[in-house]
Amino acid sequence: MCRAEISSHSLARMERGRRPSSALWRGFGIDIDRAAERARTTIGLVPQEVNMNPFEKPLDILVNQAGYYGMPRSIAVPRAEQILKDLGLYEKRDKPSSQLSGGMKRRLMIARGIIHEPKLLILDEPTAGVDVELRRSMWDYLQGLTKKDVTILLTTHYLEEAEQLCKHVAIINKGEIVAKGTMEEVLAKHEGTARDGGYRGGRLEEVFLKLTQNPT
Amino acid sequence: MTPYQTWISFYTIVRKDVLRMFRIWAQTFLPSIITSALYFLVFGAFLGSKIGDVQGVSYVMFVVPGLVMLAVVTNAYANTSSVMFASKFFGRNIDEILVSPTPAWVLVGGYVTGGVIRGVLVGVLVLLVSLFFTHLTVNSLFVVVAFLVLTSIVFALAGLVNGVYAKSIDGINIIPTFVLTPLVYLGGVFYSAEALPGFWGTLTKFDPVFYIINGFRYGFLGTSDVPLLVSFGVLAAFALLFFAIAWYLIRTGLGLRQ
Repeated sequence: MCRAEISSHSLARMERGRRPSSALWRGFGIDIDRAAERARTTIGLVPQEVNMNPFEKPLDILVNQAGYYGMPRSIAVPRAEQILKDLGLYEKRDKPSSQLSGGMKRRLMIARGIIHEPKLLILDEPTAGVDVELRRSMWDYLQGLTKKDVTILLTTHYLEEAEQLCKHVAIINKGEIVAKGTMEEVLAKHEGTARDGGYRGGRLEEVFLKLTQNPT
Repeated sequence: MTPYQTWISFYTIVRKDVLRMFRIWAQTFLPSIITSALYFLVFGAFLGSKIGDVQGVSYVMFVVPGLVMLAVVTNAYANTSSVMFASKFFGRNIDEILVSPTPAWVLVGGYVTGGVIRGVLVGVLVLLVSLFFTHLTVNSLFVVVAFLVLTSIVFALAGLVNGVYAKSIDGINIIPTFVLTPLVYLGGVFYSAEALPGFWGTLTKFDPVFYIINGFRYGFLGTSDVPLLVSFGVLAAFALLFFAIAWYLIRTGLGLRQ
């Protein structure tokens, strides 16, 4: 589900609208240096920090975002309404975004990120601070997107969900990728020698700790 | 983006801004109407009768063009500076445009168009208010409209530049208070520059707003302290200057991509 071959620094650059490395776009057959505009139409970005106009209504946020991608209202309005229904936000479509709960704001940012039907959806810690029920429904929705050939790249601190959902993984420690590959390859680094007692996470978490902790 | 997609993006930016300014009309349109009505009342009805005629017209008719320009300048400027500043500072929703394929010149064009719409609308509203206090004579409708639109463009561009560079909310209040308002007041809103003694008369001629107000006044009265072409020249020079600054901002990605 997710490909993580990108540094958190690149991610932060993209959130502010700057160019990430050109390597990322080769997979989509786009030369980013020559066709930055076209590259932008192929990605959807969901940042970690909420960046929405607090006075704007969810439906307007989505339709305006579609407009910035050149999509006329006649197409954008029905599409935005459908996405709001899919993400359980339709009832709130006419409330100022500041009145939405934290989880709703996150879902609205996902809706905004996919309104122009990107091929690559980048999510920066989408489930941080999100309750269990919402997290599960969010994953179901995102998995549905991958069935429509959307590639999802995400960063997360919840390694169990990454282990269950992702096909590819990269572990970043202090800005450096310390392990990458398919999930099976990275999990193979797990030796089954987890510490005894106390809290135990999944296998990916053990691999992560082994790779990132300094030997004491 | 195709030309059609570019148009959609431009239309989206302008539409959003126009809906916003009408939604909060009490903050965008009403203040200028009230303050100009007060000015017309004080300077026209009360003081004007004591002052008598200036340049062959009643004093209230003399101040109308200047007060319209005061409203146009402050509104065009406030619109772009506040919208740009709020969208980069409070919601950080400027990111919505920055991540999209919308080119920077379309962003600038859209914001400036919003400022021009507000400037021209407020100018027309203040003119309508003035009808309660005086008969408007119009010498050249073309000059009136051209100065309304060009002045709005210049100060909408200036406000946008201010909004882009402002680091705090003070940053978009300091320039209107300490630069814009003095320039307009000393630009001959209330008096003819001929009436000023040597030094002040000379100083006034260094004020760009003086030329704008005089050109606009010429559109109504057919008289002016300076030739019309000079006024047009100063306005065009300022339009070019701010276009150049805006172009530099566009080339550098508006300095908004952190």
